[in-house]
Amino acid sequence: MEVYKKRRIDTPTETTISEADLDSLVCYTFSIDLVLKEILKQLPVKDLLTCSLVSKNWNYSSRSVLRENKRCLAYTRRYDWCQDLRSIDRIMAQSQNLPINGLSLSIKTSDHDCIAYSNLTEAFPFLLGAFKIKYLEINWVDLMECPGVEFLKTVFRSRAFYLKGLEIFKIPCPIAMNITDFCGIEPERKLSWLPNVTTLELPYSVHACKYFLDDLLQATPKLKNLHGSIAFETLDVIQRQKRGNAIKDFDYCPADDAQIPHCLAFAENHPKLRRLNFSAYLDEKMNLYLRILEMILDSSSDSLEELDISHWNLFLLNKLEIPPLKTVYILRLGYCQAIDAQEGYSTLRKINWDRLFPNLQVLEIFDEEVREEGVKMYIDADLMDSPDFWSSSVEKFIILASSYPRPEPIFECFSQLLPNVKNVQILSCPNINSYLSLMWTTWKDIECITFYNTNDTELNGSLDAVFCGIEEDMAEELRKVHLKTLELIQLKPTRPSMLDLKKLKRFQLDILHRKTCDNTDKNNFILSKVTGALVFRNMPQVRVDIARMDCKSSWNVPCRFKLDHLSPYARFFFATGWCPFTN
Amino acid sequence: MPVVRLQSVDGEVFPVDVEIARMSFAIRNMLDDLGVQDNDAEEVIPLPNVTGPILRKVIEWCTHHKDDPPPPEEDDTREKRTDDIPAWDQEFLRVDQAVLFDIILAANYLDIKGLLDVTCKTVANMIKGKTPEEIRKLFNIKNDFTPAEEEQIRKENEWCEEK
Repeated sequence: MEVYKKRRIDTPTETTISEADLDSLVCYTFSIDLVLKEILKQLPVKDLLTCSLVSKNWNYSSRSVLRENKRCLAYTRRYDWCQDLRSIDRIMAQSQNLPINGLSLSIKTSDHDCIAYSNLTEAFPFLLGAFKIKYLEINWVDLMECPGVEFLKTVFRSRAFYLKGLEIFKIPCPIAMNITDFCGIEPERKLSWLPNVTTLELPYSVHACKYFLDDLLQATPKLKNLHGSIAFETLDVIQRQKRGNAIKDFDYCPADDAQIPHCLAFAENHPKLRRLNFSAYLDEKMNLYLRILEMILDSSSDSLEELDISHWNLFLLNKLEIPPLKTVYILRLGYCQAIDAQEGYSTLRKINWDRLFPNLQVLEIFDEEVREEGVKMYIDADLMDSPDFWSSSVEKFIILASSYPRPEPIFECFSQLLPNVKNVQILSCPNINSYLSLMWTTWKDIECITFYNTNDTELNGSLDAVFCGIEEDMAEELRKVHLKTLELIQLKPTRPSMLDLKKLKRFQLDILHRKTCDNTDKNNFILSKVTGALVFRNMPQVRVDIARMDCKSSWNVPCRFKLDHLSPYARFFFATGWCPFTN
Repeated sequence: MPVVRLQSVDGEVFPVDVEIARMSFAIRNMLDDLGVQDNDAEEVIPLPNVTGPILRKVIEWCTHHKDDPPPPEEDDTREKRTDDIPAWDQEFLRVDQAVLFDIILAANYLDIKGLLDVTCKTVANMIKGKTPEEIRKLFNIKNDFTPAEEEQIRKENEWCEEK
């Protein structure tokens, strides 16, 4: 091991040490296994998999963190999922240092080519032998007979002792109705056949099957965390088994008075939620609804991280006597433009953001319409005269753009409300030209811009003019210029351009391929060499990531989304329908 | 408030409130093992692995965080967040790479969990979203894999990538 030699440093914030000394210090720090693992533990699975490729030492430590501290699943992907399972078994048996500690099983089509096997332990010797499966994720769409199903039954019947976390997205109803009989679990074990499971994650559709939930709660005596949007429908089942305190995600949307006693009992039990979705319409019961909300927020004030709420219900929250929600870092807001249009001012500015959410970092907006008669009931007559506030803490702003085709009012409202934004994500953008132009001028200190799942049905031409801040005819002329000459040109934008963003560090672009690649002009790319040579090349501090969805058809037509010519200036991801970006 | 005196490797002595010094589990154990009483103000605790300027930073961090509640119980199944570094800590850690790594080493040696946590998060934020090559370049790490070994790891990792 290289020994790091101590040296004098001059001040606490700056050093004048040589590069060699710094390398030696960094190398020494990373050579301490405990320290390297402490750093790696902070990273998500995706980054840890990347870290495993850095060096042998990093491989050892990152894989060890993945196995011991993360939920690192091996995924079956193909319809022939039992064949994938066998491949996972083989690869795990061969390698001593795989990061895997669980399985994600996607059980989709009954009509597939199953593996041939005489007995299960021969088919899956490692998975049913040395492997201690810690996490299991199941997306079970179809009923079927398959060696993979037999494998799953065996895991539940005789290897469930190792399970710590279970996530079930979907399960066929006949199986859910009687899971223990289906798996052949002996009657005497029905009350604790998942003895060490501490975390259950179940989406709403699974909750709807009360028998199944009842079975799972009985089977998990050590349950501490129940995730997955628990709603009224299943609250009585959970409370009957005295598991209310395990609930971490709750949809509190009172609509039926019969459910209120269950909610009140739940709130009186001092839940510590991680995520809350609140939605209610004012009526004569509203005081009771709000009293319950107050109780839930009070007991969750040190644990609540995520809040989903509509624009008009935020006014109710503003009036409650609750402590500051210090741990809330993401707010998903159903922002209704019609309210501001009707009132004639930015109503969100009347919320005392820094008092209510002092550490809010992410605000995500999506469109939510209010009942016509409703708005006035939520907004006090003197609201307009109250002082204006803004959030000083929010650094990331996410817009579900498909619901806001006209971006101008959105940018005007939120640039004032969130002056310190450094990271903007635009999801499902229908009008990328307008959104891009506003991005160049709204937050001057912006550091990261992401367009994800962009579905621009009106985008036929090129985006070069928007990126370069020039007229389209000028962009057209520049596209005819040879690359070497182009790189010598000093661009003089006549409008705001990406070049105006001096603090930008990352630009991430993902535009969906709409199968409209059959253009006759081979140079009609969504972004040409002009943007590459005149913008990206002149912003060396910016990392440009592009998710490519270019045409895979065999027609051999030139595809507008094939952006090979940008490779000197950008990194490519091959997108397959999930967000390829990490921030 | 009772005080202990901490001595850095370069001989600088820092009088520190006992309660603040005890945020370091290493110092807490030393005080307990030595049977140091609250009124032993002359007792000097040598810290041979920490320089004066770094010890000053560490004491500054501990003083600011002395009334923090205990950290919440860890939950393996949820991803840790690195975007929750408080503003004061962000400003405190606006230092060059050498100082940051020196503070990490000091936090590890002195066993101050909160400080180790926030400094490791800062380094994790430098790693996030980067490619293996970019990480190697950032920290000057040598790639000691053969191309075949690297390819094998890539193939194995593919099974774990959420798609």
